Amino acid sequence: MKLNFKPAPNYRSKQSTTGIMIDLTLCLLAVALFSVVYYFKAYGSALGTRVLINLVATVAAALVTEALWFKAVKKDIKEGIMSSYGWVTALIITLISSVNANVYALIISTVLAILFGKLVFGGFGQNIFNPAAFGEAILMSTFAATSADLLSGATPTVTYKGFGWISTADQLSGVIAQYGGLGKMFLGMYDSTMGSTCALLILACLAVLIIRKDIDWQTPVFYIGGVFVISLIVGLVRGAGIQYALFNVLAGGVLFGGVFMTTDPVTSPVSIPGKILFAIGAASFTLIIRWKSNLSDGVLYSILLMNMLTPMIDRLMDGSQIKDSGKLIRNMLIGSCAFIAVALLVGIVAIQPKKSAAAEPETTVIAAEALETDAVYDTAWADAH
Amino acid sequence: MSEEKKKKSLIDELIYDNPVFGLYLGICSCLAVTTTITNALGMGVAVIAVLVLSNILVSLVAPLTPDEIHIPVYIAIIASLVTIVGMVMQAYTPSLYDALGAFIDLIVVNCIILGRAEAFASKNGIAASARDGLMMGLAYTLSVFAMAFIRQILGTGVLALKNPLTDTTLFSLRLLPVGFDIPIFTTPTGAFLVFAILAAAVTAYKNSKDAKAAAAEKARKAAEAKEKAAKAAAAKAAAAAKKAAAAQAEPAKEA
Repeated sequence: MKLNFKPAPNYRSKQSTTGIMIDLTLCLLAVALFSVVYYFKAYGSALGTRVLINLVATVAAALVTEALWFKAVKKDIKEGIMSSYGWVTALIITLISSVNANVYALIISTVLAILFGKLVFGGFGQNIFNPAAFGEAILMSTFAATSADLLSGATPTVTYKGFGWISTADQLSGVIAQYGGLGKMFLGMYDSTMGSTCALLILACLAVLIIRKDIDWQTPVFYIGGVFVISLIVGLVRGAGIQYALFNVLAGGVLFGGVFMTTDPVTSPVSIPGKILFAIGAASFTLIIRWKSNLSDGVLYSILLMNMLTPMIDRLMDGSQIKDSGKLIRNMLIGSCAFIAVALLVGIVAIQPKKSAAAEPETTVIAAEALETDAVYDTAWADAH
Repeated sequence: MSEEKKKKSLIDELIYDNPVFGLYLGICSCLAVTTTITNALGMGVAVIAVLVLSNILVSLVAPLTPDEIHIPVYIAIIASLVTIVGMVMQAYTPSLYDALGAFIDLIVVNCIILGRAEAFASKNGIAASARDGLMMGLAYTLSVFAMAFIRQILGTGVLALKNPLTDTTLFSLRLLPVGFDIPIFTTPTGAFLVFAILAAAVTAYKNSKDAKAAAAEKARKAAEAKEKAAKAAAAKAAAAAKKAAAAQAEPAKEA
């Protein structure tokens, strides 16, 4: 019998890793195209070209970094780059950043993400953390002060953070109206991080990726569904209604992160029950971070946290997928229930609505308050998850 | 010849037996004090002072110390020295003392110092111990300086050195344009990154040197073996020639 040894992702299906990555790249390019068109239409050529420059610069930085690395370790440069998929990381980093992001900051974050998030671990397939999330964490935590001030309006997550992520139905309606209603938010016609606005397009990408068997449907569906269900329960209990759940899914990076980042085959668990547990854990962490931390959105760090737990989940789900399916599903259910219980407890008992911001729901006031609560992160940046 | 050999061993001691990047000792303080080169050099000088004095004292008391209590004795010596150095720094370089904070006191538990007391000073004479302390201290200073150099330039864009005695800036050089600094390098994350890069570089240097030495050794051995074989062949040939000569001589005798 011939045994094949190669790093993850290993697939039984005919779909090759390169094929998956090409589909993923095309989906990301579609999202990028949408944001270029949106900024050209909404703000003219200055911002439109800026989006283009950001995209091209990060992709170029990723490719150059990889070329230099493969030259340094004496590997074939072309083959190395083609099997490392650095451009996917670069595109995701740019798309989950604000258009305000400094090009230099984006380039440095991409280089550090590719180098320290992926290549030093042994390259694609060996990394612990999602390289794009790694890069975005660097961008957010260290380059907050250097962002350009092109758009002054706060993003939905930052605005709602001003209310403490929980409030009466009226206040929430006010925030949603500020961005043109849930329908416009679904179509992505508002300013936020570049790529994460158009829910319709991202869901279309999700459908394409699932139909072409590029990703397992469980991770994104349970992630987005988890955010929806938990926030629905919290919203109903706290009197914010069903629109609270819809806002939680549409605002910020839940959809983009759920489709393009939690599904990373390298940094998520191998088994299907493991993937479900991973997705529900990430959903719980996303909401807990939104409610209780200084950050306005929690998608990025929830994914990084679950990346860290992936080996533990894999060990918990260790065993034959067919023979031990009862045990696996039991472990998955216990773990998921624990995550959901903690999130519900935090959401229902621990969070306090901010009354002061409610009096004057002006963007600038809220932004100033958000700055007060968080001296480290710039508001516009904190929204980048 | 001997001069060159000595020089080479000096570099070897600083890079090969580097306590930080070679032996991975004293890393904790290394990550904490390397935000500016001023702090790094101040810490380096403090460590050199403690290391040299503790090595001398340990080498003096080692023959008198019962084996069961040697670690408490060494720790007491080191702690006293660190307290003295800390007080001197507080008196003469208050800004440096404030900047380094608890890490001066933590020199007590710096693995390099107890490690050298245990491994070297307790078994060697005063002069050798003092020299060992100085070399180890210099290697530590070199390591923290290299880290601080990279971190300060990348993190703030400005390379500046202060005179800790008078608190005046000796020089300040902007090496990266404004807005092109990478603030992550001023954070502990940046310290870990720089540490990892330098440790990898030192290991790569050592590996290439080891490989070269191994290749040279192999070549030397091969040459030796060849020489031996040649000698053996020559001896064999000589023996054969002797035999032949003897065989030739025999018929002559018979005749």
